[in-house]
Amino acid sequence: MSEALFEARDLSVSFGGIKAVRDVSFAVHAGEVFSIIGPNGAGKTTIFNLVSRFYETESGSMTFDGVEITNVPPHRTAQLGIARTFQNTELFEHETVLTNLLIAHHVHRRTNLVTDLLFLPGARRQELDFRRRVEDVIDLLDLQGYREQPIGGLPYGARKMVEIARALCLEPKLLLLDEPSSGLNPEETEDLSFWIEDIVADLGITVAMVEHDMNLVATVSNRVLAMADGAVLATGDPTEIQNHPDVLRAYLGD
Amino acid sequence: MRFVLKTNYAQDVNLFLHNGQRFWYGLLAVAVLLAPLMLDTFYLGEFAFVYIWAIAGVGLMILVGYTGLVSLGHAAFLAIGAYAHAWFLTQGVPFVVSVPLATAFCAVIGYIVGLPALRMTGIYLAVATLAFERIAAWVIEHWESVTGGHFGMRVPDPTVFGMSLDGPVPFYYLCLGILALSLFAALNLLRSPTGRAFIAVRDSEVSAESMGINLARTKCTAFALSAAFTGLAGSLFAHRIGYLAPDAFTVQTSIQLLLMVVVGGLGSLQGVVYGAIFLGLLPQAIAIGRDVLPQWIGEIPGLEPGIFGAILVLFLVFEPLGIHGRWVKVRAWFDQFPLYRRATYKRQRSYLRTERVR
Amino acid sequence: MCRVTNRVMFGGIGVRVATDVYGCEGGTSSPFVRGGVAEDGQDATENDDAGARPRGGRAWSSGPGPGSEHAIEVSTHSRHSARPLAPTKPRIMPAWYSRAWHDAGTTLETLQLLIIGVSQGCVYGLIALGFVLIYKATEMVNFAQGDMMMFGAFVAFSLIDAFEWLLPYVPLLGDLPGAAFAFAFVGTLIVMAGFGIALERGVLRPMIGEPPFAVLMLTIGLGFVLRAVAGAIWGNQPRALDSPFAGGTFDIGGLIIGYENVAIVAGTALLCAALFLFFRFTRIGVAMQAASQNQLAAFYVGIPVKRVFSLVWAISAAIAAAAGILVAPVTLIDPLMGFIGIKAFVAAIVGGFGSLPGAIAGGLLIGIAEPFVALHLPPGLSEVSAFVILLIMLVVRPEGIFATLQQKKV
Repeated sequence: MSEALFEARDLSVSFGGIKAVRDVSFAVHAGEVFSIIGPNGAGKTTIFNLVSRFYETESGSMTFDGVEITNVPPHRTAQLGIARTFQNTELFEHETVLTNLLIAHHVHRRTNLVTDLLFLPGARRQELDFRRRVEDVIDLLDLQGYREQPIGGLPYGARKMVEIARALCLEPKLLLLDEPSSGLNPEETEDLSFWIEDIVADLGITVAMVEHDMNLVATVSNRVLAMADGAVLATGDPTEIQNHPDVLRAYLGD
Repeated sequence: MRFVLKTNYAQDVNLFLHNGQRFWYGLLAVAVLLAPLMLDTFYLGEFAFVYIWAIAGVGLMILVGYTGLVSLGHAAFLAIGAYAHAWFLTQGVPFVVSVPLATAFCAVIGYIVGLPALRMTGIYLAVATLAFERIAAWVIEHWESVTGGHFGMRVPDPTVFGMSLDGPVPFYYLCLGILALSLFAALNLLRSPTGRAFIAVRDSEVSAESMGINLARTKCTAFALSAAFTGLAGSLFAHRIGYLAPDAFTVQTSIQLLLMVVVGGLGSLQGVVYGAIFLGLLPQAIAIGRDVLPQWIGEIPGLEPGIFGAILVLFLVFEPLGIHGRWVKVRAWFDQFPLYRRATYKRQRSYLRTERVR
Repeated sequence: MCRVTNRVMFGGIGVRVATDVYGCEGGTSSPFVRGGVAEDGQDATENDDAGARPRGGRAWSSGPGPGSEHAIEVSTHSRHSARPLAPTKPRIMPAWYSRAWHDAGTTLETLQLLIIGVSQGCVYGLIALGFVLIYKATEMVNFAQGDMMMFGAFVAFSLIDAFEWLLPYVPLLGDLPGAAFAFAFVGTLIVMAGFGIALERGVLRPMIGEPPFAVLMLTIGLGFVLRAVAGAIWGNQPRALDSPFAGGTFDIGGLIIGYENVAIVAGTALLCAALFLFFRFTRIGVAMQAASQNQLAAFYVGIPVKRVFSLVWAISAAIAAAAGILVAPVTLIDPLMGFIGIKAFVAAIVGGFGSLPGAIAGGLLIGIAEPFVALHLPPGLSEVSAFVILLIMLVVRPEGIFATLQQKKV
């Protein structure tokens, strides 16, 4: 494994006196699939929200790609190359799939307000370029059928995929997937595991995901972080974690 | 129903989807260009007014319809545009410079108003803009050296390179031209990253941020642009009414502007135009109705705002997508006849789940 | 757009809050007719500014139409209070204030202003209470709250007339002082509660599940309609409510307190106590909380969500009506009196939209600030002081005095 693409050191945050995350440290290496597992309320999503800077960290620090991101504004993380999906999909409901994906290209924009208002040749070229790149992602994730449909009318599984597609359109270095398989049927989940492998292998994007489906985790992950009650239980490869006594205790009780 | 076969990316980017659209919009362009030959002066003036409303509507639509920020204070931008323009004119600034200056001035004010607006959403923002409008009105009323205070100020006639635009026909073309430019600019905006950033902020702020959109800057830009268009409309409005006084711009004006974009159809530029036509011509319709109806109805005080209000209520209850939404449905009915299904446009109700967590 | 002036009357002085009625005469031109309508040079029509800087009898007259009648009506009313020619006092100064003004020291003056502020603040607070109630239970913003207050005041006006005609025929009740008013008060609350239910059933129920902005616009539209309906039924002339609280004053060591102010404060306190008890000791309060958190879930666990909504609308319509009746002796009743609803709305936001004590606190803050601003700061500023307070509040503490908002979770 190469050096860490993302590294968190002693992250802590608490809400109303309850420590949601306690001194969590971990590193995600370039080119791997890193999964975070744990029972509900273990603080998994909170970690993602800390990484994408929706929550302020109380202590600890984070670096991404050599840049300290502990205190950057949320949009900056996306510009640096961290894309994410949400547990309960947060898409732009009133717009078509196409527009949703185009919005993700915002970080790559080279035009400004004036060129946009006048739609100067540069703006047109950029638009065509964006659209070409969006089509590549649509092809990759088989979304052609939904291309022009508004999000509001899509089935849940499709929304999940659109959200992943949108995150990919950012062309990120690190992709955070928050429970990508929740609400998907077994077939869709299986497809998902192939896609995750494709994303890592073909696009060279590092994936970190929060996931409950142990099967999926075991299939795609290189390393797994197990959490309970806001603290790290263990880190290791999937089989190691599945047999780790602390993890078993957290899931099954004593 | 027409299916368009898309063979290259430019087709998605072009303003018109197919030749049919080009034809109909071309026809419309010819019609409005030839209108002065057919209409009498009074109606030309009314149409110029409709165009002015539409320009302001473009501004408000960008903010409300596309960025999802509700402003109850846009009359202030209309007023600032009007007063700034009139003041520049009285200082001897030529018309062609004064209009952009007033527009830019409004944009700056809009940006500044946008700054505190960053921390507010929904109703808070609406009321904050209302407060801004009231304070702006107070300043206008009391800054007598510039605005003439209660007594108002006369607006010099518009002249471009020595040519007076004061007559109804030149003024009609002036308003039409500026409206066309405004619509063109707004369309451009919506097919480029800036406009999409607005839409992203409207639909999900969290998501927009995680897409790398700077919320603060986007909202302020939306405010500035919106104020600019409205201020531009204001500068024309100044000429239309000829004499500026504080009571031309009130909370009521702001509400009318909002009413225009809602009745027209939120989230569509066609809606702006429909709404402006509605807003501009309804008083005429009511005036005509007054002659026909029994006298006691015509004499009801506040009849006109009452009718406005009633229409607004009816629209919101029966056709929340406004005139444009209705038009889309009617067209779909004809396109798909006899296969039209009501359910196509039936929206799923999202029952309230509070966002106020206790 | 012609200008019709809406006076907010405080203790008999006509104070004109300039409000513009969109195109009340059909045209879109702006008549700039204005001039000295101020009869006998009284401040009835010129007191939109602080008295410290009289502005030379300038008064707003309306354009042609009902407005001119307004002005005359106002002046006549102000003569009721039979005041000598006194220097113009800041707006919202009651008639008796000028006397106190001359011989009072600063403490007394401050107290006096405070009393005026508190009573005005209670009115804002009461209307704000209606806003907040509806918002708390339904997350709808009822911009027509002020107009519901206006409507309630008109209903009370008619009912008082009716009872004054009716009661003399009823044995025992005929001689009771204030009986007509008392009956009308209760009657108005009932009528307005019914009206609130009708509004909810007819207009707002179809809007359940629509975005809040649509509801906001809808209630703005409703406000317009209510104003037109009130104008059609009762006309645009301001009316005085025959209230037992009108006119009289207490004099406590130089401190002069109008009956109507006492009535407002006491009424507000009573209503607040009643509401508190209602929500504290009935299950409906809990049901309301539940319905406001998650409509569907509340419905599934058997809370009659629709009935809860009707009830909430009934209560806030009744509160609005009570506010209307209490404030009527101070202002006059006319279709535009609901415009103070805008300031009440500001009060609700300042208090932290969604908090009932906040509504009252916000109302008091704004109500108290106004007379002090009027006295000590540049003319006309008291008109906008509420908005300035709001802006400061929104920048410094955007969640209001009593915070109820939190960030959305993802």
